[in-house]
This record gives sequence, C-alpha cells and structure tokens, in this order.
Amino acid sequence: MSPAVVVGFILILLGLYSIATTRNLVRVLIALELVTVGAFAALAPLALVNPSLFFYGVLILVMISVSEASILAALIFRTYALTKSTDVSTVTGGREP
Amino acid sequence: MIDVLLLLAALFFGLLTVYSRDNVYSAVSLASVAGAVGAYYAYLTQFAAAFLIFVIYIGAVMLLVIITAAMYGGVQRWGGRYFLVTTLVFLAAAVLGVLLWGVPPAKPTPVQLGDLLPAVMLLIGVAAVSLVVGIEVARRV
Repeated sequence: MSPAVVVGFILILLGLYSIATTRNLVRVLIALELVTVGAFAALAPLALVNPSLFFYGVLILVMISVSEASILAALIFRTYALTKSTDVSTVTGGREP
Repeated sequence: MIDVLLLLAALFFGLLTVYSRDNVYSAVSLASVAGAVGAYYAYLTQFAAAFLIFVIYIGAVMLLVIITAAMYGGVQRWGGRYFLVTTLVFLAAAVLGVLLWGVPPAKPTPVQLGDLLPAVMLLIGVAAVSLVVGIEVARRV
C-alpha cells in the first residue's frame, strides 16, 4: 500500500479519535478538517492512475470541506450566542427526557 | 525520499493537531498538515490540485478554522515549547529537503485497479467507525 494511503488513514483515525474524546465544538471542527486532510492524502496515489479523476476528487473534497466548515462554524456561533459556551454538553434543548 | 519527508511532516503536525491543548495552536498545526499535503501534491506535479489546496483550502477553510478557534477559546497560554518544537522540525525538514534535492526520485509504482480493493475496504471500515463515533457523540449531548 502506498505511504500516502497509510498516512491518510492514520490522519483520518486521529481525527475520529479527537471527535470521540472532546466536548468542545471548536475541537470537533478542527478534527473534522483533519479527517478531510487525511482524505486528501489518501487520494494522492490516484494521481498516478488517472490525473483528471484525481483533480475532480480533490475539487469535490474541497467543496465538501468548505460546506462542512461553514455549517459547523455557524453552529458554533449560534451555540455560543445561546449558551455562552462552545461545550456541547451545555446544549440541553432537544434531549430525550 | 522528499515525498516520504513531506508525509512524515504531515503525520507529525497531525499528531500535534490532536494533542495540542490550545485551540489556536491546534488549528495552526492543522493548516501545516494541509500545507504538507499540498506540497506533496506539488511534488507529484499535480499543480492544479496543489493550487486548490493552497488557495481555496488553506486560504479560506483554514482561515475560517483559525479565526473561529481564536474567537472561541483563543490562545490560552504562551506556546514556547510548541514554537521550539515546530521550528526545530521545520529546520530539520528544510535541511533534509535540501540534502535530498539532488537524489533522483524513485520511479513511482503504477497503481493497479486491483490495489484499490483494500483501500475501498478500509474506507468502508472508516465509515463504520465514523458511524459509531457519531452515535456515541450524539448520545453524549
């Protein structure tokens, strides 16, 4: 397996580990972007096979990451405005009784 | 060898992203990971993809992440050790990069379509782990 794929999967797993262990929404945003960068690295071997498909893959990943970052940033701004905190455990509305 | 050096730098900054206690240093480390991956793309002569990474991804998304981290949390402590370690790693990588510049690059091994199967299986595994993590995070709220 290509070293880029190995590094990419390690970065993805690191990001998932960070999401699982934090309650801070800013850290969740950073960890999600780390997963995206891991996907960028894992995509690299495709450049040797089909460069145009690789470029479109990178383009789609960039579009997805822009969308997810803006949505999560909006969620952070709104959560802070409502609760004065970025800790997800302070969000109590919508919980099951 | 320069490709391995860039990937190792990406891995180092990835570890630093997760284990930095300060949000801003973590976000800056994340931008460094993206920079290393963009440089790796440029090394593979994929300049259009590298342009996307450097201009759109780092210039827009990483900027948003760093500003969000600075607004909500900010720099909690002076990161003397962080700056020392990152400067040393940067200098060591720069020196190694200059030394390895003259070494002829190894011929890339062409990827066969059959090699994609383990990657697809790994992706399915990552999707399953993501699902479990998502459910556990949602249960915690």
